[in-house]
Amino acid sequence: MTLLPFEYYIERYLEGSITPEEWKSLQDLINNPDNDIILDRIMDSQLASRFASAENYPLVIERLKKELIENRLIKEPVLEKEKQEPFQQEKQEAPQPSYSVRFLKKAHLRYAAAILLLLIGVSIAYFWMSVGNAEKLTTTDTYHHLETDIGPGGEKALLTLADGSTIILDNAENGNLAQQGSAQVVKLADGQIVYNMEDLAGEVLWNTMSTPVGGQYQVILPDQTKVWLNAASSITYPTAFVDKTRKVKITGEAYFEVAKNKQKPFLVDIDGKLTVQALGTSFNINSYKEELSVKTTLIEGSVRIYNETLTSLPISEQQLNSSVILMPGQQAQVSSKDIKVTSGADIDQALAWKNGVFDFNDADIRAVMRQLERWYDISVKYEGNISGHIFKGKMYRNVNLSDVLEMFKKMGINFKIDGKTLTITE
Amino acid sequence: MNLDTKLPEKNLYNEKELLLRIANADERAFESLIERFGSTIYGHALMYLKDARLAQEVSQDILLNVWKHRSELPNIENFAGYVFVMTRNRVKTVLRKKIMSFAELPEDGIHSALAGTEAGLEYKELRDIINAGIEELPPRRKQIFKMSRFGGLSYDEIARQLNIGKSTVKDHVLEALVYLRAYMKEKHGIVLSALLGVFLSAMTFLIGMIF
Repeated sequence: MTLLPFEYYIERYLEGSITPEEWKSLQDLINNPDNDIILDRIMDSQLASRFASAENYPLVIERLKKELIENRLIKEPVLEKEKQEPFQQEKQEAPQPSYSVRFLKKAHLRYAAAILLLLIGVSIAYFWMSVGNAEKLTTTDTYHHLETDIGPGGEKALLTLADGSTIILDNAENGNLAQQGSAQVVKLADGQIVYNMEDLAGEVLWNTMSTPVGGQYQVILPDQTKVWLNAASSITYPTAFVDKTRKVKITGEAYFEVAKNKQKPFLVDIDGKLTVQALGTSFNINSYKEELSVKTTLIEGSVRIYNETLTSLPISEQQLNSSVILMPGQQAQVSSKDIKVTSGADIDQALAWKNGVFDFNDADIRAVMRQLERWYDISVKYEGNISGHIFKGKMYRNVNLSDVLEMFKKMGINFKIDGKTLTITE
Repeated sequence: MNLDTKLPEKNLYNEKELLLRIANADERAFESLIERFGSTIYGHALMYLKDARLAQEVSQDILLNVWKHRSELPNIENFAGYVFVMTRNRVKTVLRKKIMSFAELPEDGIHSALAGTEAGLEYKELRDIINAGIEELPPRRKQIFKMSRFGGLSYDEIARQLNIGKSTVKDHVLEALVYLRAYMKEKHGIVLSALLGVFLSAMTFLIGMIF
């Protein structure tokens, strides 16, 4: 029996014996509609025998159940509230909220207007490490005395043009915002900022988009690379990528979907400390100063990380040797002079902010509070010995601070709130 | 494609009832649906995507989709066929995306492995883990896999020796790879870079097969 070329490449791919040349051929063939039918046929026969077999991945089943049921991915929160809320009486004054689980569809940055309550996982499981804290489950009602609640962050950013003038983006009307060289800066109906023409012969003008504490924003760079900026972050980029590399600078946290262009490597300079080189790739960089390390999480494609600022490519052998390449699903943590790579990074967690969610999986209380500080523009203090609280679960980001505090209360976390200062007490 | 002739009975005599309960948002019922189809979906996704995490995400998406469209479930005549087609299409989409986005993979995998900082596991330890995984394969599959990987026999040669079809041999080898990949991840959380790095020198061939 002779195999069609495409069939052969698929087989080689599945076996893991495909060569680089064959890989290229597979790439050429995979999108051909005729081959789609062949792929259907191959998969059909494999699936048929798979449906017949009794193979079992119990740990996977457990995780699927956990994610889909226990963590309530399938849950419309309104049901959860009715069923699970032993604290209902405390919420009676609140109007019946309407909910959305839209974020699951990756509706980037589109916050449903009316989400009130927070938990996707009912329960943010919460462990008291010390004994005898049961009485602390009854917490003070301090937050009820809040005269004005603190709302969540939103779509806010400041655009600084090459001449130093600034545009406040949440107020700006849609349409043309400015002319930068030959590029027009346009604000789309959904709030995105786009540079609609790349004039490679023109003058290079540098723009900076920055988000305040409690803000986030999205920009499409002149090369069509998409960038999401988390709160208290910034990106500086040229209005045309005329150099041999596409170089941008960031602070804080950003998620990139880099447009493919093999001729022009995409370089992200992180606060003058390190450089991430991307080759048609999606990745998240968390470089907040208050976090212990700069975390780069690769979603797809590949990136190379240099523990220094690059001025140009190509680079020296030594620089290459001290750099690290990430594979999808890996995370690099860069601290002072050390790069640590871990596989199986929690991608959901790394991208949660972009999808409108806090993901507190296994976070300790201080890491959780740092996120809240950046999103609610509050400052958090600690009184006494606060530790041993491990959070689990997820929460929408577009809820008011009082809802977050409500949750803390249920978890038995004691706190006081005074203006914009949240104090966690023992 | 007529799924009825292709799909064996999965003993879903109460399938109708199960689907009705799911349509009524019964979580228990959905749980047993996950138990019935989760491994099948996952196995297929893992075979094609070669990434346990991605396979898990894809499986999750497919099942979530079933849940989202639960109101339509009672009208579905052949539910296994419905899952079948959804799995095939979803895996195809992700596979295409993966193939198109991994232009540099063959080279980068090596660089990454060599640059990896987690070379803590010893060669012997890894070899033991893989061998333990192979030992957990069903006897026939184990035999065929060993003949193929360690005996250096071609599919044709194995087929002739065992007097079975070549495609059966191939299926066993591919399934063994899916199993080993899941085994490494589930039982040992094996880190790709470390594994590759240590193995490249000694077991290039086998490693190519697994990752």
